[in-house]
Amino acid sequence: MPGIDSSDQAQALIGRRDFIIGLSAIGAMSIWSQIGKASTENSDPLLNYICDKTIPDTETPGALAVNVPAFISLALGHAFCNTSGDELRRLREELDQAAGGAFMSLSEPQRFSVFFQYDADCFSSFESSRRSVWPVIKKLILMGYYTSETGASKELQYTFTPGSFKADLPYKKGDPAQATDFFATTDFIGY
Amino acid sequence: MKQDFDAIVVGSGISGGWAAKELCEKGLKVALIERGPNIEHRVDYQTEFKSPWEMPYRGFGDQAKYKERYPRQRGLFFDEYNERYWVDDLKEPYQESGSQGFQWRRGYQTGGRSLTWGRHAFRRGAQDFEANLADGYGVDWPIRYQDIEPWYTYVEKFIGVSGDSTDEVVGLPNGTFQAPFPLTAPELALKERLAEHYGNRRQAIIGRVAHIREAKDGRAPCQARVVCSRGCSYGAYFSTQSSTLPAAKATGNLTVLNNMIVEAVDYDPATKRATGIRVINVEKGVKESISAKLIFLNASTLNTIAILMRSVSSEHPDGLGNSSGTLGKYIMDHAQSFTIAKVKGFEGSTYSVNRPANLIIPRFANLTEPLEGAVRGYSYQGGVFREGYPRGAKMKGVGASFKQEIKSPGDWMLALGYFIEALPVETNAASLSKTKQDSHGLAQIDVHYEWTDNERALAKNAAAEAVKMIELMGWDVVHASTEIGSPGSAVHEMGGARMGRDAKTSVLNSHNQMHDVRNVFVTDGAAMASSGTVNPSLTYMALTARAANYAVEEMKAGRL
Ligand SMILES: Cc1cc2nc3c(=O)[nH]c(=O)nc-3n(C[C@H](O)[C@H](O)[C@H](O)COP(=O)(O)OP(=O)(O)OC[C@H]3O[C@@H](n4cnc5c(N)ncnc54)[C@H](O)[C@@H]3O)c2cc1C
Repeated sequence: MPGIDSSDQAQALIGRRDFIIGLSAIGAMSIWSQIGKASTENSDPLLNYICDKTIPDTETPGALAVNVPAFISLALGHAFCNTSGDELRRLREELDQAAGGAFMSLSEPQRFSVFFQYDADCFSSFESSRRSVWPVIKKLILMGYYTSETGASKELQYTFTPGSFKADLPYKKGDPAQATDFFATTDFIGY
Repeated sequence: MKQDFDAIVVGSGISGGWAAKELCEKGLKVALIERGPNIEHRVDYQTEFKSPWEMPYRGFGDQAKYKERYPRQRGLFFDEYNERYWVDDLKEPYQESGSQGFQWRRGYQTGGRSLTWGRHAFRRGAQDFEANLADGYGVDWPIRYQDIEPWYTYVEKFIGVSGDSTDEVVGLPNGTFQAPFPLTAPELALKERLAEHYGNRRQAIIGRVAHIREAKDGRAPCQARVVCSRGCSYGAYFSTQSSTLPAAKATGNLTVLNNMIVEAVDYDPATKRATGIRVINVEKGVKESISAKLIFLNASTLNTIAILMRSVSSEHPDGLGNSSGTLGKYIMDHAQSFTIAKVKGFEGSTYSVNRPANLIIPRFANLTEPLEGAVRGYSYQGGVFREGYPRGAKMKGVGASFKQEIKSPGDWMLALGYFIEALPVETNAASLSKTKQDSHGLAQIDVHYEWTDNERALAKNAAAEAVKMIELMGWDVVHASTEIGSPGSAVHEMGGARMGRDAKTSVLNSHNQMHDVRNVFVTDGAAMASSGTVNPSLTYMALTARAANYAVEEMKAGRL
């Protein structure tokens, strides 16, 4: 592989290791204070349930285990995907309506089956998906999960420094996608 | 009178970095004036090695803040990792008075937009320097392809451009290339099918990008990360920081002055020469003057126009060098739209991230194929990819099977953006607002821009031809847009101090020198007399190197 990881010359030029260590120290404090804040703010059982059922624990931890609900609280508080902050109330209303009563009071497996049907109905037509708040919540669950360390690097592959671009590789179903695939994961218009 | 410097270069972006390097290397004492703070190569790329889970907003950034403070900066390559390389729209306001507004994306810091640019670097073809004369829009370029050709080579050798030297494309001359990035399997299939069907009239080629593939001048090869716009410590892509600034500094002739907003160029009616510049020293909150024998304006198209418009004197009441009355007029950007298709086949193949070079289908309209109903043409830039996790938000499914599904890459998709040549039109113009000021007390820039019927006709044709090529492949068109986005959104704003043969109808001569004021040169996008169909910055670099060479010759000959 060309480049900095293998080239002594470049290594000397950049002194990359010291550089990285220096930088992570600067970044870490502010980052953890943010994440920590978000996680204590959230304890909505409905959101926890929905996250857990959308992306459950399998061989890798799922969305609840990596605290996607905290990310969603943060996202809804900061207008991600043009949200107004009212989305969880709407989600609860839609699910209660789908359940014909209090969704969270249902017991399993009815509750999951209502949720499963709610998701299927939502995506059954363009119109129904536009009316519902679920697509945007689902999008946030995906964004939260696949940008978590587990989602990106355990569930998907995370290659930060590929070294080179490989244009044609054999693929078989089940091989994980690259979390760092810029063009496949970026919304150019904004979030 | 004591001269502070031999030369002043205003702006440290793509073109200003080049001006500084060239003038310093020719022995001039140069002051590089930059309105924004310093960004030190490597040291200040604070987010470069971060993963999303280490970022406060997972790399997406605080969307509420962006909507309020960065509404015109959002778009390709703007994100949480690099938000500080973009201006805060509330702090640096401007006016946009056309029906679709004018999106002005910019960065005020050392390096300007060389940090965040898309790095595609093409030569313009002969037709691009002849179009104005041929169809009568705009004024004739005072140069032809042969005049700039050696300077393209000169610039490419220094910055390093990756491209395919086996390409033979009418209207898109090859450069001096380092190794190309490879095409993926569906792209190769498209390339072969186009060759079969269209001969060499239409081709699919790999993009030419200012990324090095072999170590050079203290820079390491591209690692295919495509986190470029955070700043690249490898120095793998061309930026002021990785490339021109170190060269300029190495001469010992460079002084960089940050946090200095150039307000105007000072002019002496007795000698008919510029004597220096007036700046606002942002840190001290005072105005200062700096003198020099030679001035290069590289503040980027709209800022350069504004500086000239603010430089009024009794001899230049409408702005410096504006005896033609064309200053600020004939602004252009590329008109953009896009087609998306679902690629069929290729389930058994994939690629491994990340390629910084787009797939290109160079211009054919009115070049290798005639087109009824519109002049000029367009090129396509895009590529294929396998859909990632965001597709999950558009499909049904929850639970373990859904998770399993999303784990895999999805369908292959093709995205083709169009870069449509915009005509130079007098009414597409920038001016200084008479009523609105910015926070520095300077009149705000007001941009008025409307697309013409020609761009709209080309957009329709680009969509129709994209559909034909996709159908040739048996792929499914998802969306073929003919709607042109907001002017400015291609971030190729240019014109406004155009080059021309006649001082009565243009601001600059064939060497980017002001017709009216011999020691002032404009070598950023403002100099452009037509827009062409390729990304423009390589041309700014080549024109800058060429003009610097000429200016120093003229200076030595005592003619400046
Ligand atoms: C997301 C994105 C993608 C792009 N992709 C491509 C691409 O692939 N290929 C391509 O060719 N182009 C691309 N561009 C366009 C490219 O960035 C510009 O054409 C190029 O940067 C213009 O160079 P410049 O020197 O004129 O201006 P800039 O690079 O913008 O630099 C101007 C500098 O002048 C400074 N300045 C401004 N006003 C003053 C003042 N009054 N006093 C002092 N200093 C001042 C600014 O702070 C800045 O540092 C892209 C741009 C963006 C944003």
